[in-house]
Amino acid sequence: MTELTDFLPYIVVVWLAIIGLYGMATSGNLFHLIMCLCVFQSSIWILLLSIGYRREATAPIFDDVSPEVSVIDPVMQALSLTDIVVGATIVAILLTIAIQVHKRLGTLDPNQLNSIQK
Amino acid sequence: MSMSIRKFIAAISAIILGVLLAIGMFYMPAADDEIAAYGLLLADLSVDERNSMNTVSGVLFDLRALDTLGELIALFTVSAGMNIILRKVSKEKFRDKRLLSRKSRPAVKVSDTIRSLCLALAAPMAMYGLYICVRGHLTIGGGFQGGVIIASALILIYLAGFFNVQEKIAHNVILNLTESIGMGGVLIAGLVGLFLTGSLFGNILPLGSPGDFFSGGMIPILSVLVGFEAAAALALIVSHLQSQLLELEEKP
Repeated sequence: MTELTDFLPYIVVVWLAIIGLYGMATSGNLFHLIMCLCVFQSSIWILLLSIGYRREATAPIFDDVSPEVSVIDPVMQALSLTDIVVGATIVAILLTIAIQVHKRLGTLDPNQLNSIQK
Repeated sequence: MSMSIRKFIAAISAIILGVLLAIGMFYMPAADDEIAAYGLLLADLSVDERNSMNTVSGVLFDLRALDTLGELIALFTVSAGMNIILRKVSKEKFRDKRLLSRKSRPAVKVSDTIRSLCLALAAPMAMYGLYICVRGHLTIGGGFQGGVIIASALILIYLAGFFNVQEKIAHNVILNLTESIGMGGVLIAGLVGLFLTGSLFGNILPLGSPGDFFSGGMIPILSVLVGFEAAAALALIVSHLQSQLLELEEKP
């Protein structure tokens, strides 16, 4: 049982990564493609958090525990926070580009964007 | 390439990638292992030398503040760059004012319950976000989280059905000023630290005693500045996206 719970987060990471990439590769709509990118990003967050996780350890906040107690990795937490912010900015800029594509070309289907028009 | 061939190739590649990733995951640390030495070092440094009880804040706003600066530059660039990408196309004649008026587009009916709840919650939400910002060095909290909560106050006004009020706030100069104060303040704090202590984001303020409100040196100040920047940038991003109506007038 220990074995499974140790590696379950990594299984979830692999599953989310490949399902997100598959969705992005076969997407028929730009907004659907961006949502698939979000799924792929969430696999990275789970990967970062599960690297830093330690059994029977507490959050790295010492306001009510003594500094000797074992904590999970604060670097991974800070990195996942960074990643969430960067992911939000990427999604924002991609949504903007999708809106502009729809305004200029009247379609959201990536298959119809074969040639640069105008 | 037809869709079925593409799906087939994507499925094959996804399966191969999944197997490779799964093999790679065997070398990842299990939950029983010790965390990396760098994490342990930063956890100790943040409490002992910076008097920051929240290690994540200590890492983000002091020990690895350079990464936070890059993150803020990304936020700033996106919120400014959306304006450039979302320029008007030639067909788009009546983007804002006329389509927004009630004649051409009926205002969305919002029930009284939702409207009163959203309006009542907007101001406390902004205050709560500020509270999360300023206590980042003591316990759970920090600039980014607080900034997102502040920005959600603006979205509450939109949910209440007051799209015009939200537009007015979003196009107000105060929002841009807040973003500039956040971004410029972080840069100035970093440069002052560079000149006075010799390292970027060096600590120049007294550290106080651990657990006090005025402690942690530059951490609470940077946290509040980052909160301003994140709140203003997210509010600008949301209002940029909402001002797009996706309805084009055909060329006469």
